[in-house]
Formats: sequence, structure tokens, C-alpha cells
Amino acid sequence: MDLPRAPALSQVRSTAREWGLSAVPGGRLTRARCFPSARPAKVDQKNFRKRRNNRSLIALAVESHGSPRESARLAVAVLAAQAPINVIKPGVILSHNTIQPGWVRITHWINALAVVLMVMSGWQIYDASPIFPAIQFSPSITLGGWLGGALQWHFAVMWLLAGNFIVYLTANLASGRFGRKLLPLRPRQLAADLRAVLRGRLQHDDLSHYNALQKLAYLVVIADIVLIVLSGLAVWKSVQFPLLRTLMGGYDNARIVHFVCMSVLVAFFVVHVVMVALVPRSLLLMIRGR
Amino acid sequence: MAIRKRTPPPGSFLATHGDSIVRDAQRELKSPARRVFGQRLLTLGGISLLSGCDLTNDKSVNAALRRISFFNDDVQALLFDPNKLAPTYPESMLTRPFPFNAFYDIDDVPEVDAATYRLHVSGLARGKRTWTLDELRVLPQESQITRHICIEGWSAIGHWGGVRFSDFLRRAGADTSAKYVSLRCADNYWTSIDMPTALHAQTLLTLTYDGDVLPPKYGFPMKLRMPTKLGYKNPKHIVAIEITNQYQGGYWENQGYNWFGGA
Repeated sequence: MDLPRAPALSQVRSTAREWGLSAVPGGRLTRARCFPSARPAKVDQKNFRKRRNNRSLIALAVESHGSPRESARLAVAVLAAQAPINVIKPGVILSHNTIQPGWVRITHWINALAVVLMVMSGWQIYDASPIFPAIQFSPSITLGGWLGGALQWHFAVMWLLAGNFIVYLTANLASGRFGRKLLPLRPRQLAADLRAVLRGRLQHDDLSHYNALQKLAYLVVIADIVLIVLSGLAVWKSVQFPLLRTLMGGYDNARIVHFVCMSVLVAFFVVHVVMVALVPRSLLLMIRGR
Repeated sequence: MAIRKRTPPPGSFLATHGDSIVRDAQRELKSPARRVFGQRLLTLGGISLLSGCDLTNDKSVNAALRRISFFNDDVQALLFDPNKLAPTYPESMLTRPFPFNAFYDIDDVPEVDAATYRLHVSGLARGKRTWTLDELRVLPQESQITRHICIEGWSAIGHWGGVRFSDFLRRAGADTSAKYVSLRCADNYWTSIDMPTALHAQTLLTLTYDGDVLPPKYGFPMKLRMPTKLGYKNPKHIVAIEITNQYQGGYWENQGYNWFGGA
């Protein structure tokens, strides 16, 4: 019986670097071994602990029918988790460690609520004087009942959206999660993942790791929310914030920027929800963290 | 009789993963509280859907939104810089024709008789209480080409001329330390503004539009023009001005528009 090829140590290290796990390789990981598939695909917890405490050799058992690169990813995931991981089938990791920390989940759901309310009330406001007469929103999908009500919603929920977003960005940058999860975004990787998704071959086995398209989508939506807040401020306070007004190309143009940002946000929302439907495990992950 | 344990064929999925699956399941079963919580959460969602709860008509929701709107008044008062001027534009950028906009149709525009018209000043003012149009026309006049921004989102650039409002308030002996200026109109419209905006350099008691006497559709005999505020805060056909410390609200404001309405 052929054993799957063990990942080269250098490959494990480079994958770890790619994931921003600079502390992991080096002295700690020295060997990656593969077992035949008949062996339980588990890292032996006792052994792992003991060796970690010894700070000596860490022998890492990784079962994988995939490529050496896939094995390398598994090895790094195990190291990152610092705990036993169940490999339920080659490449699929069932981790009992938190992938989405509490603050990510809380800010995510507050943001989701705020965005839905902002977009629905925003559509009602837009309908009072459509920028593009061909585009109007049915009252059944708007919030507020009339212009005045929608404005009350919009200017109340804006505090929730902006406050929550500031907490998210601060925690994200301060914890280093931003750089670890969303960067670097390499064009070559992006092109490869784009080809994979077009062939329907993009895998979502390891939810602790974002593929390049995900990184791009999340970076775009973060930038989009920044821009939507700034253009919104320019529309709301065009006299008090002259610099912002000028940056947005004047009052009328700021409305268009605000509308385009909304469209990008809604497009992201649709793809995001479709992806959750395709990978339901990710919903569980965003609720309970793992 | 002994129960024989069935062993799955070696190499099958169950053989390699059976143990860990069972362990995972056991771990999950250990936390019944969590499962009950999950169930209740689902039920709560279900009930809120069934009740057909309409956020738009809920009284407590509306009261909360009102409160936040008043909070936003305070925020805007803080953001308002009395020295910051609204942008002005060249004549070539005027919006022609400048749109008519009111809470009624253009056929219902009030007709004010210039000869009998009087502007009444009341409240915290010690000066002249009744003004004729001619008395206003001899005061120093200014003009501005500024952007009128409607709460609906559209905007239009217009050309207004008239008396600087701070100048008028001083001549009328108004107490400029008062909080509000309340404005009542011939078309039964009313609104009120904060004193800092009333004293802003671009706040104009306008008597002309584009060089001509202000036509009825734009608010004859006068409109208070504030490029630092949204359109509904710029009342037309003004007949009475009151200087007061009492919050007065306004026609649209009392229905839900934000009171400060700053741009």
C-alpha cells in the first residue's frame, strides 16, 4: 500500500508563513509524517502535549490523501490549533478550537443587522428622489413607511453601524487578525482561485483559512463600508465637511458614490448568503465560533 | 447470550473515523442546556415572525427613534461651525427653472398683498415690532448663489437677495442669547431654528430671486434662506418671527423630520 507523500518541511514552513504563523515553524516542527489511511486520522493528544512540554521534537502525524501541499496545510492547521484535531476525511478538519472569536461573531451579527436596516431605510429615502429614475424600490422591501420615518431609521442605525464598525476595525488591527487572515492577497493566488471557482473546484474544507477570493471579498467590503460612511457623511453634512464634499466630487456626486457603495454592499451580501447556503458549516462557525 | 459487536470492514470510513465521530457526538450530548437554548432561540424567532410585528407602526420603536432624532439635533449643533460658509457658485451654474416645492400644489400658493403686508416680531425682542415691506427693502441688501438641498435628496442652485438675518435681528432688538427663532408663514407653514444658524453670515431674509422681486412661487414677500440647512427649514411667505427659549417644533418636524436639519 502506497503511503501518501509527507509534506516537505520547507513546504510546511512556507504554508505557515503564508498564514501568518511566524512563531510556529523553526525549532518546533521538525518532522511531518504520514500514516496509511487505516490508522485513525488523529494527532495523538497525549503525545502532542508531552512533546510540546518537552519543547523537543514534535512529530506530527498527518493523514492526507491529498497533495503534499494539502498535507502541509493540515500540519500547519494542527500546529496553529495547538490541540488535537479530528480529520474526518482527507482535507476536512473538525476543530474544537475557536476559529471565529467572540468579538468577530458579535460585531459580525450587529453589522449584519445594521446593514439590513440601513439598506432598507436607505431605499425608502432614495425613492423620495431617485437618482436613476429607472431604479426604484418597492415599498415591500423598504423600511420606515415614508421619507420621514426612513430618515429616522437611517440616522439612528448609522450610530450602530459606525460604532460597531469602529470596534471591529480596532479589534481586528489590534489583535493582528487583519494581517493574519486577510493579508497578504497575492495576485497569482487570486488568479489560481478564480480559475478554480470557475471550474467549480474551489474547496472550502478548512474554514479557518480564507482563500484569495474570500480575502478579496472581505477586504472589498471593509473598504466599501468605509466609503459608504464617508460618502454618507458628505451627503448629510455637505456644508460642515467641505474636504469630504470635495473628495466625493460635490454634493450630488456624493449621493451617487453612496448609492454605488450600497450596490456593492448588497452584491456582497447576496454572494455571501449564497456561499453560506453552499457551505452551511460556515453559518455554524459564525454562531458558535468553531 | 453475548451481544456481538459488529466490526466494520477495515479501511472503510467507519473503521477509520467511527471512534472520533462517537466521541464528538458524546461531547455534544453532554451539554443539554445549550440544546434547549438553541430550541428556545428558534421558537422566539418563530413567534416574532408569526405575530407579524410591524416595526414601522410600533409605538415604542417610534418613541425611541424620536429620541435619537433629538440626540442628533444636539450632535448637529456641535458640528455646526458658525464661521463655515456654504459653497457659492457662479451664475452659469444656476438651476433653471428653479423647482417649485411645497406641501401643497403650485395653484394653492398664497397671495400676499404687498400694501397691507406686515412682518410681526414678538418674544424676546425690545425693538420695532411691526415691519412693512418698504422698511425691509431700505435695509442693506446682500445676495448669494447657493445650493438648496432638499431632504428628499435632490438639490438646486438658486440666486437669492435680501437682508442679512443677523442684521435684521439686531435692528429688531432681538435677544440673540435666546435659543430659538420661530417662523410662521402665510401658508400656515411654520418652523423654528437655532440661534447660531439664525446669526450665520449666509442666513438671509430674502426679498428677491435672481434680481427680481421674490415671486409668489418662491415665497413672496419673503423667504428665510439658510444654505446651512435643508429646504424644509427655509420657510416662505413669512408673516411672524418670534424670539423664544421654548422649543417650537415645526410643520414637518412634528411629523418626524429631524428638527435641526443641518447640511
